[in-house]
Amino acid sequence: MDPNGGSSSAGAADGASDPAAARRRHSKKPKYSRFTQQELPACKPILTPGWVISSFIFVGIIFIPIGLASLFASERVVEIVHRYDKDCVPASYRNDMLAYIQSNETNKTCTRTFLVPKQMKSPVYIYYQLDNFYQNHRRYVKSRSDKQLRSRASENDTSSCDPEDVTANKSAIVPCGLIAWSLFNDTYGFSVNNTLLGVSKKNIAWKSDQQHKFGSDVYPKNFQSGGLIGGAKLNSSIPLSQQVDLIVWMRTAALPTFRKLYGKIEVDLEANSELTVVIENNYNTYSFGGKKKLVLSTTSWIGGKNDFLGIAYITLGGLSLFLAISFLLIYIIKPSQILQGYVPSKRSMTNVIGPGHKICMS
Amino acid sequence: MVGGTGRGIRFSKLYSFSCVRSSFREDRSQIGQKGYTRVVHCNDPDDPEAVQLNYRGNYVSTTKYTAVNFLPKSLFEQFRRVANIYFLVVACVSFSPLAPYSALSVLAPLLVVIGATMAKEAVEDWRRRKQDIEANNRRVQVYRNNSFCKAKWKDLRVGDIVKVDKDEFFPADLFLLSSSYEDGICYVETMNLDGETNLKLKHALEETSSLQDEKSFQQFKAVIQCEDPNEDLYSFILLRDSKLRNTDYIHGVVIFTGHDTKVMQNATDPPSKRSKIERRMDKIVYILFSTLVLISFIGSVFFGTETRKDISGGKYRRWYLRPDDTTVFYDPQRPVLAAFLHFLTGLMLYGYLIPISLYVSIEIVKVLQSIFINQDQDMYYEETDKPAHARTSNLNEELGQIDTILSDKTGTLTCNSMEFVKCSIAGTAYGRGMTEVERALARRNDRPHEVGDASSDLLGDGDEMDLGKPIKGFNFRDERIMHGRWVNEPHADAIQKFFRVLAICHTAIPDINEGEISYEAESPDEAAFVIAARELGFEFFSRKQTCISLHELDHESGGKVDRTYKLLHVLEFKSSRKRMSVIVRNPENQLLLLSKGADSVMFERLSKEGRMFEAQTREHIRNYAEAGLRTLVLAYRDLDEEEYKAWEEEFSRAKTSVAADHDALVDAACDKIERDLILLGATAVEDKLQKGVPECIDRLAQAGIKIWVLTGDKMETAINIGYACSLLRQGMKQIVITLDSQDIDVLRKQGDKEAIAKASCESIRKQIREGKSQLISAKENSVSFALIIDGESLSFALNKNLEKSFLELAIDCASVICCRSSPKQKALVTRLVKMGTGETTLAIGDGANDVGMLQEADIGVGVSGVEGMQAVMSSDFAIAQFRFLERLLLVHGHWCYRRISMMICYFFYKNIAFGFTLFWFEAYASFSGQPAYNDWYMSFYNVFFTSLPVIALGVFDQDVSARLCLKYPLLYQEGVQNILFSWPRILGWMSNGVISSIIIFFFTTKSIIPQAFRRDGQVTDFEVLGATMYTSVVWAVNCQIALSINYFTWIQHFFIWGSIIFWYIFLVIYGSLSPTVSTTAYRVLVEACAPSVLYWLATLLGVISTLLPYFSYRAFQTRFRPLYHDIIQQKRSEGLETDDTPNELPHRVRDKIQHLKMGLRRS
Repeated sequence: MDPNGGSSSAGAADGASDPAAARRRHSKKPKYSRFTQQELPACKPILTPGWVISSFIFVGIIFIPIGLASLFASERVVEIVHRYDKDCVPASYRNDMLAYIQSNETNKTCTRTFLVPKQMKSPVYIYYQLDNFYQNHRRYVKSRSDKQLRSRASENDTSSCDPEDVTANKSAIVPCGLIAWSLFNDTYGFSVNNTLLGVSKKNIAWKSDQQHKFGSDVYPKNFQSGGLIGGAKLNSSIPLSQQVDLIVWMRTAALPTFRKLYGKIEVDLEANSELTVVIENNYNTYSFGGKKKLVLSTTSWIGGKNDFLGIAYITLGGLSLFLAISFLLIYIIKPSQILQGYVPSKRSMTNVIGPGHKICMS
Repeated sequence: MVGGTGRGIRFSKLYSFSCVRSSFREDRSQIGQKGYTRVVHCNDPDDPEAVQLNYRGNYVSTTKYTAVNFLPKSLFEQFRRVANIYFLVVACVSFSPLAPYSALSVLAPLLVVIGATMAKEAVEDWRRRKQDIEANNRRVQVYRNNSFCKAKWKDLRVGDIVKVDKDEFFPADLFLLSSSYEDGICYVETMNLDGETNLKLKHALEETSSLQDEKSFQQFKAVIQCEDPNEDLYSFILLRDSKLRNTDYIHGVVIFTGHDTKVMQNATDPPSKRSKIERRMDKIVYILFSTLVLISFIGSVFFGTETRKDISGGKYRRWYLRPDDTTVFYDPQRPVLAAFLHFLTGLMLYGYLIPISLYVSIEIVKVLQSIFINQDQDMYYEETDKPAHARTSNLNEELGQIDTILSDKTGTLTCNSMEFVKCSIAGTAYGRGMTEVERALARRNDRPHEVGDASSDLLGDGDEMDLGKPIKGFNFRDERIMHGRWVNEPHADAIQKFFRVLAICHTAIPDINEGEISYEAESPDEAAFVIAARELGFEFFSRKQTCISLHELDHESGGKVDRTYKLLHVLEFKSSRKRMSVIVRNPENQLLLLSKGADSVMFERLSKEGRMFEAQTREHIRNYAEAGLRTLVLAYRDLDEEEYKAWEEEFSRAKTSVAADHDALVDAACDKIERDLILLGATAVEDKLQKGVPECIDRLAQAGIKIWVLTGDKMETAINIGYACSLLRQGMKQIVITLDSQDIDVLRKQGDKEAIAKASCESIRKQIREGKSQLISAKENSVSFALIIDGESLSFALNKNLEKSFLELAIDCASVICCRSSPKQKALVTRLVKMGTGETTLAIGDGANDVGMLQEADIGVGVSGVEGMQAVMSSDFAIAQFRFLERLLLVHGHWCYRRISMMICYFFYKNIAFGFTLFWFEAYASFSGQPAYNDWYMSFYNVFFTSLPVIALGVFDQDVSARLCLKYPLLYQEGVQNILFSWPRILGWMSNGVISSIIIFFFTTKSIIPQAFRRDGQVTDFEVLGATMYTSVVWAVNCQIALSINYFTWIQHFFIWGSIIFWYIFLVIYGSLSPTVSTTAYRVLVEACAPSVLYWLATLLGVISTLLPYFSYRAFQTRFRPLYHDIIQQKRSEGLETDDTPNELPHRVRDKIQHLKMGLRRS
C-alpha cells in the first residue's frame, strides 16, 4: 500500500521513485550556523550590584586624581587679567565713551601699571580678551574668502565677502570680508621696572594657517581704504602669511567671550615687580558694551588657568564614590527587592492564569 | 463539472456545429453585451478581423517598475513619506543663502538614504524580472504552418492552437479542444493558482475531441465568443500556470493571454499593514517636528530682537556686522522679515532632530530580522520541508505585542489529515479505539492511569491484528466487520450499501501505481472514505467519465468481483448544500441515488420508512461529536426510471442555462431528487490535533495571550477539542450562548422569521447579561471563564446594538470558542476584537475560509498545511505547524519588539543629543544660525558615526536567550503592555538626550574656554570647540548604546568601537585635504586637538558625565524596580539559569518562581 494513498500531496503523483531522497537533496531546511540561529558567542553584561559598585568606585578612583592633578596644574598657572576698556577712557568722556573712541582727535594712549603677584616663568603669553563680541555670528563667520587669502590668483574671488568685498570703484579688497575688516587694533607695550620688554609675535599663529591658508604671495590691497574704517590697517608690503595678528584674528572664536594671543614675553617676570603697559586703546567695543581685558598668563601641561575641569572631575569622582557607598548600603540594608518589580495589569493576568490552571514553568 | 465548458460560447462558423443544443441559442443573450465581447478566431490569429481586435500578447511583466519609469516612480514612492519630503525641501532650500550649511552636505546623506532604499527596490524588482524572463521564454508546442513547432510563451497569440504535454504548465488561458483521452477529458492541478493540490477534471466538447493530429487541424476554423478578461477563477478554461496531470497531452486554443489571464487578473498585492510601533513612531516624529518648530521660533525671536537693536538712533551697535550695509537676512530695519527668514534657517539647522536615516535603518533591520525568522531551524517542519516564512517584514515587532489570537481549528490546530475511525451502520456502532479528545476527557475525569501520550495513536486499541504499516487516513479497528467478516453481521445488507456509498459517492480519482492504488481527492475527508471502503473490501479502482468501477467482496461467494457502476450524474458538494449525491446505474440495471451529507440536512430528507435507525444513529452521532469527530450521514434511495427521466430533463436545463440564477436553478433541481432517502448510517472521521498544540496553547496562555477559536464545528466537538488542546481547563466556568432553546424551536416551527429574529436577539441579550453577572460575582475568587457561542447566536451578537456588550463579556473570558461560524463571521469577529479592544490581534488559519480573518487581523499567520496556499498567500507570516507560533511569538516576536522599540528610542536619543548641542551653541551665537560643527561632520553623523551600532542593536540584541524566552512566557507581557515603548520611556529617552546635550555643551565650553588649551598658549577657537564637542557626542552616544545593549557579540563590539575609531580616522583624513575642502577641519585633530591634554580630558569628562545619569538610573531600576527581563537576567547571572543546557529547574528556584507568580497574580 502506498503510504501516501489518498492524500492529496503532490509528492504522490510525481512518481518519483524515492521522494524522501529527493526531498533530502532539495531540502529547504535552513542551514545551521551560529549566526543565523542567533547563537553567536556573546557576553551579556548585566548590572549586578558588584558591577555597579565597582564601576562607580572605578570612576571615582580615576576621576579624583585627574581632578586633583588638573586643579593643581591650573593653580600653578599665574594669570593677570586687567580690564581696561573703562579705565582708559578719560573722565570727561565717561558719559559718551563711543564719541571718544570714534573721534580721531582724542588721545587713545593709556598707561596702566600693576604688580606681578607671583613669579611668571617665560614664556608669558599676552592675550586680549573681548566680551560680548559675536565672532561666531553667521554673517560674520561667512564673510571671508579662503581662496583669496590663499593665493594671489584668486584675488578677485570676493563673492562671499559681502559687504566688504570691493571698493567703491569695484576693485577687490584684500583681505576681504567683515572679519578682516574688523581686525583688532589695540596695541600694548610692556615695561618692567622701567625697562622695556620685547613682545614676540613668533608662533602665535597656527603653523598650518601660516603655511596653507594665508598665501605668502598675497599682499593687502585696498584694505581699509575707503568708506567706513573698521579696525586695524595692514602694512601692504608684508604678505598675509606674515601678518600674524590678522591670522590670529581670522581664526574666529567659538563664543562671544574669547581670548586671542597677542604675543609672548620671553623673559621671566619676577614677583612683585611693577609692570607698566602702554595701551593704544583704539578698538571700539563701546558701542555694543563689550569689555576689553588684557591677560598675561603662563601655561602648564593643561594650558591656561581654569579650575572648572579640576572641580568637575573631583565632583564627579566624589559623586561616584558617594553613589557606590549608597548602593552598597542599600544592598546591605535591603538585600533583595526583586518582587516589587513588573506588575502586569490585573485584567490580563487574572484571566489568563486562573487558579484551576497549573502553572508549569519548565 | 460536466458542464465545465459551458457558459457563453458560440460556435457559429464551425462547420461541424450544426447540431448545437437548443438551450445554447436561448441563453446567448449576453454574448456581445458588456463584459462578453471577447472574440477568438481559433487557429487563425492572422485573420484580419483578429488582428484588428489587437488583443495583448502573452508577454507577462510582474515588475513594479520598468527601466524608464523606475526613477520617477520610485522617487515618488520615496517622497510619500513626510520626513523625506522635509529633507527634500531642506535640500532644495539649502541652495539658497538661507541655508546654514553647504548644499552638498545636506544632499549627500539624503542621496545615500534614498539611494539605499531605491537600490533595495531595484534588487527586488530585478528578481521579479528574472522570474518573468524565465516564464516568458518557456517553450510550448504551437500549431503553425500545419505542424506543431516549439515557440516561446511570450510569442503566443490569441487564437493559437497549442499542445501541452503531461506535467507541463499551461502557457495561457486555454480552451480545451481535445486530449489524449478519447472522451476529451483532462486533469488539472491548480496549485500555483489557489494552492489546491487536488486534481480538477475538465471536459472538451464532444465535437472537438476528435481533433487529434496535425492533419485534423488543417481544416479547423472556429470563432469563440466569450466573456472579457476578469478575475473570476472557476470558469470554463484551462488556466495559465496550472499543470496538466494524469493526461498525456491536450490541445487547446489560446483565449486569454498575458495580463488578461486569470492568474494575472487575480494577482493582488498583499494588504499593507503598519505596526502599532510605527504608528506611534510617526507621532514621535510629529513631536520632534513641533519641537523643531518651537526651538526655531524661540531662536528667531531672539535673533529678531538682537538684530533690531543693531541700529538704534543712527548708532550701530554691533558695527562689525555692518548693520548699515546688509542683506535682508540680517537687516535691522526689517527685523520681522529677518526673523522669519531666520526661522526657516532654524528649521534646517535643527533638522538633525529628525533622524533622516531612521526609516531606512528600520527597513534594513526588519529585513534582517525576517531573515532570522526564515532561517530559524526550530520553525522548520521536516515532513513538508517547509521553513517559516516572513512574507512581510513590516510587522516583526507586532509579533511581540499580540493580545488576542484568533485561530481557525481544522488544519490549524489539527492536522487536517482525516482518519476514518468509527462508523454507525444500521444502528450499530463500529470502531474501537480512543480519540485524543476521549483521552483528554478521561484526563479531565481524573483517571490518570488511562492517560496516554496525547500525540501517540494506535495504543491500547484492543486490536490484535497485525497490519504491518499503518495506513494513512484509516485508523479503524473492529474485528466484527473487518476482513470481510461483515457478512456475518445482522445487517450485512446495509453494511454493503454503506460501503458502496463510500466507494461511489465522491469525486476522487484513482491513481494506480505499481499495483497500488492511491487517490486524489478534493478533501481529506473524502480520501479517508474511499480508503475506508477499500480497506473493507470495496476497492474503487477506475473512474471514467461515465462509469466507476470497484473490486468488491462478494456477499455470498466471498471472492472478489469487479462491478462497474454507470455514473449518470454527480450532484456536487457545496457548502450551502452541505451534501453531495451521485446517481448511478448498477450492474443489475437499478437506478440508485447515493448521498452523504451533514446530519442537519440529511435527517430531514429521509423517507418515513428510511428512518428505521434514526434514533440510534442520532445518538451515535452525538457521541462522535462529543469525542471530537466529524460526522457525515449516509443514505440512499432507489429511483424509478420515469421519475429519473423527468428530473434529468429539468436538471439538464438548469445546468445549461446561462441565466444569472443558474446556481439556484441547479440547486433547486438537485433538491428535488434528493428526497425520501433511506438512512444507512453515519461515519466519524477524526482530525488529529497537531503535535505540540496543547503545550503551545498552554504556553501562550501563560504568556497572557487570549486565544479565541473560531471553528465551523458543532458545539460539542468544539468544546471537546477545546479540552483536548488545553484551551478549556478544568475549573474553568463555561458560559454558553446558544439559541437551542425550546421557545425558539417553537417559533422556528411556526416559521415567522421576524418573530424568530426578535426572540433570538432578546435571548442573546439575556444570555450576555447573565454571563456578565456571573463574571462579576466570580471576580473575588478569580475563577476563569470560557465563553462558547455558536454561529447563529454570533450573528445576533455581532449586531450593532449587542456587539459592545458581547465584546465586554468576551474579553473578560480567558478562552472564547465560536462554533459553526462562517468565514465572514470569522472576519467580523476579528474586526470586532481589533476595533473594540484596540489591542493587537493575530489571526491564524490555513484555509481559503480564513483569508478574510487573516487580512482583517493586525497580523495574519498562515499555516501552510493540506488545504493549499490561499491562506498563506494572504498572510503576513507563514508557518508549517501551529506549535511554531509559540516560538514565533515568544522568541522572535519578543526579540523583534524589544529590538525595534529600543532602536527607535535610541535613535531619537542620539539625534536629540546631537541636535540640541547645536541649539545651545546658537544661544551663544546670538541665534544667528551658525552651526557649531563643520558641515561634513554633521552630514556624516547619521550616516557613518552612529548608524551601524543602532542597526546592530536592532538586528542582534537579545535580552534573554531563546530558551529563557520560552521558559518564562510571562516575559511576553512586556510587549503586550508595551512597556518598552511606553510614552514615559520614550520621553525619558528624549529627556536623556536633552540632558546629554546640556552636559556635553556646557562641560566642554566651560572647561576649554577661554583660557589657553595647550601648553603653547593657543586658545580654543571655533574649529577646536566644534571638534571637541563632536568627539564627545560621538563617544557619548556610542557608549550609551553600549550601556543599553544586553548582548555583545563581536559584531556589536566592532560596530560601536569601530564607529568611534572611524570618527578619528575621518578627522585625520578629512583634515589632511586641502583647506578649501576641509575648511574648519583642516588639521584640526593632528595639529590642534591631539597634542592637547585638555582635549582628551574634556572628552572623558563629557562622556562619563553623560553616561552617569542613565547608568545610575539603570542600576537603581534593575535592582529595585526590575522589569521581568531584568529578573530573568539576574537569575541567569546568579547561575540559577543557563542559556544553553536545557535541564530541569532546581526545586528551590521553582518554588521561588511559583512564589513570584503568586505575587504577580495578587497584584
